[in-house]
Amino acid sequence: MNISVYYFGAISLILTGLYAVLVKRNLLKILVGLSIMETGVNLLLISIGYIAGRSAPILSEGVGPNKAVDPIPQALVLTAIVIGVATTALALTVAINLYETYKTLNVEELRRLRG
Amino acid sequence: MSQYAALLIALPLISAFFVPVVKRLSRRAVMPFLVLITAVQTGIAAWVFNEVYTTGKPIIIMAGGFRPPVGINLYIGHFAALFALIIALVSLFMAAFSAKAITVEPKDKYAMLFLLLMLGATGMISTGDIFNLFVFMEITAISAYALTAYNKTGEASEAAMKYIILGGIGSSFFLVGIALIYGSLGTLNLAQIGLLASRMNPAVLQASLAMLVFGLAVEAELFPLNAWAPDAYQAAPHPVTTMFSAFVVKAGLYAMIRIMYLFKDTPAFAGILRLVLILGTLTVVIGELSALRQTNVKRMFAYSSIAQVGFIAVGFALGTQAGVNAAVFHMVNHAIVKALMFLAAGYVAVELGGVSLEDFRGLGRRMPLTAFSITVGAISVIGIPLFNVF
Amino acid sequence: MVMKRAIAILTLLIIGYWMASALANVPFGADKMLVGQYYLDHVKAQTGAVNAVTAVVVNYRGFDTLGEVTVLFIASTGVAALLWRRKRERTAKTEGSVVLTTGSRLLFPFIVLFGAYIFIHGHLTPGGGFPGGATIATAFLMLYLAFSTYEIPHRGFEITEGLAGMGYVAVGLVGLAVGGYFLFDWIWQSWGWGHANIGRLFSAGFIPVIYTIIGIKVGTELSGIVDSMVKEGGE
Repeated sequence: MNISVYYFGAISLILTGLYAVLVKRNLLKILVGLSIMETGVNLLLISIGYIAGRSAPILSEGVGPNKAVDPIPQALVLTAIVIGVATTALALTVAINLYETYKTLNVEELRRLRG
Repeated sequence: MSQYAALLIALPLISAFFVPVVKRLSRRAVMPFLVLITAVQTGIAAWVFNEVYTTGKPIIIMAGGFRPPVGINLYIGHFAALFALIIALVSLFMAAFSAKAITVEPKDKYAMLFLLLMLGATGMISTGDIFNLFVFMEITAISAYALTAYNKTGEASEAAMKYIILGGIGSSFFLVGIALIYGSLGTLNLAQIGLLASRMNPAVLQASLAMLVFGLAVEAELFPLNAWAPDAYQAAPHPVTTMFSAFVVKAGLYAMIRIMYLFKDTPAFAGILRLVLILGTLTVVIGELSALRQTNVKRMFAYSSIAQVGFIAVGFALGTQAGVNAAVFHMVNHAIVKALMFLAAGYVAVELGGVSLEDFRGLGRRMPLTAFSITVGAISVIGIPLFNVF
Repeated sequence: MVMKRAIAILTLLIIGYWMASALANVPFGADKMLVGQYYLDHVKAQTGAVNAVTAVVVNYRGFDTLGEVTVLFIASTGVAALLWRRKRERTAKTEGSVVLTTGSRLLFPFIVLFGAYIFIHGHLTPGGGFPGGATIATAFLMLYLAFSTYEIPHRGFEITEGLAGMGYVAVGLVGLAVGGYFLFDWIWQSWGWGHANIGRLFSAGFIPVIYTIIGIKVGTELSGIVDSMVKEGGE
């Protein structure tokens, strides 16, 4: 099975992020892992749209409609990046509130304190 | 004329943006404004419902004037019109309840988040495009995250954190599913995907379908991805819990079923049906067993609600027309019944200040009307004949 | 402990292998456009923009962009709601060095200008509303870092954000009234302005208008988020 290096990179990013979310104990590291996972997915979406031998979809002189890459995945990723940022901002805010209430960011401690 | 149904989406949006201006003019006007807007939304939903049911044809809204699949379309069929009406009605009652039940500042931001939660659920059930479904799902989810943590207690923050992490993983997997489908078919329109589905490579089809279902299952609260649900239901403000259980989870389930049924004629369909069947059954069993052990009323209702949603999932997963009819009927009834029960529990909590089971003793004497509503709701849920859950 | 990591790694490898085998059937670099080709062929005639991605984001799939703006709005509102305290103020104690304060005072107008350039030219060059707004917010963040008592005018920003959002939906509703469809491009298609100008600044229908609105909205929103997170308060 041979897959392109871009797909391989995207999948590795997703798996790294997922590993951090599942295994790490510090809340901030878990959130960083979530962010890495979302970046990996965005990379995957963009690489799906690539067409070999063509260039950016800005139709100025020299680039006609047959020489441009697919514009749709790029539009999808614009939206997905913003949604990822919004999720991360909200998650960090909840983490700030958790720290102010319980004075710790360790998920094991939090589980213990909650009972 | 029927394009004016786009106001179903535009109205809550423009009102949510208008709330800061209202707050500037008069701080006390924010909650009545909320009730006003939900009332207008109910009116529009009723008009749409009337249109769809008297003419018998679904309303198709083409955003931007471009025909699908070039543009994005909203497809309001019979079920979507009914559900939009239910969402608007439940929101109206919850808005009225919020005026009394929400005491934590800042209330104007609560009003904005409330309107956007309603908008997200309405959009999720009426869209005709898979990426648009993702965007509306994220609108719903992020409003839900913020509303869960709204009370700012430690318990609320922890519930919100669990929800955010599970929801984030789910939406990332959903995007991978979209990437696989787009890579194989080149379109994002749901109807066109259904037409072209048989051209997909079976391995890709199976993987992408599993990813999409996984992503939506977090929102639709199927086992084992519903670990966030009991905590979130317990810690959120009372009107918000009602909204979660009445329509947020149903919207997720409806979207999941719609996507699954697109691939009806492909070989992977039987496998995915079996998977949802197993997960739904597990949800029911574990939900009911856990509900027995609870001493907190809201948490007990939460487990019961999750279990009922499992029933709905099983009904859909049977794959027959009778199963689908039964599941839809149950969806409508469950929305009504659960709204009633959570509303009653919340009202008691607001009046008396507590939600553990002991506080509810002797309620019949102190607040007879509320006790009667809880009794009716409980009898319905058990399934005694003549009441709707049967 | 080791067990947990081992199980996690095993699960991840299985998921990874499954995803990779699915992706092996989606060839990299092959032409699989269906709707995309239609967009590329018709973008100049139907929307007047040269940047196909911008036309897709604002015009063809404008509904998604409306949703995205809403998501950012929810995040900003949620952050403000969750970090709300009765009295909030900055608790930074060290003023920035002379280089920092002088430099940021000098650079601030240029950064804002650059951000504005990005979103005004959204239909001609890569970029658009979101990167432009983020650049403007970065300018404000720089001021926060340099001066220990700087605050953005909070009330003003909140109202600007609300008005900008309303502006976007209002543009869509005007489209509904003039052309019969929500988010219809009434400048390009009904009024016919700018048809002769493709490739220059005053073309592309309502794309510059919407991107300006989005740029202002995103800039004020992200600055508001930074402001909420920096302040600490008493109850």
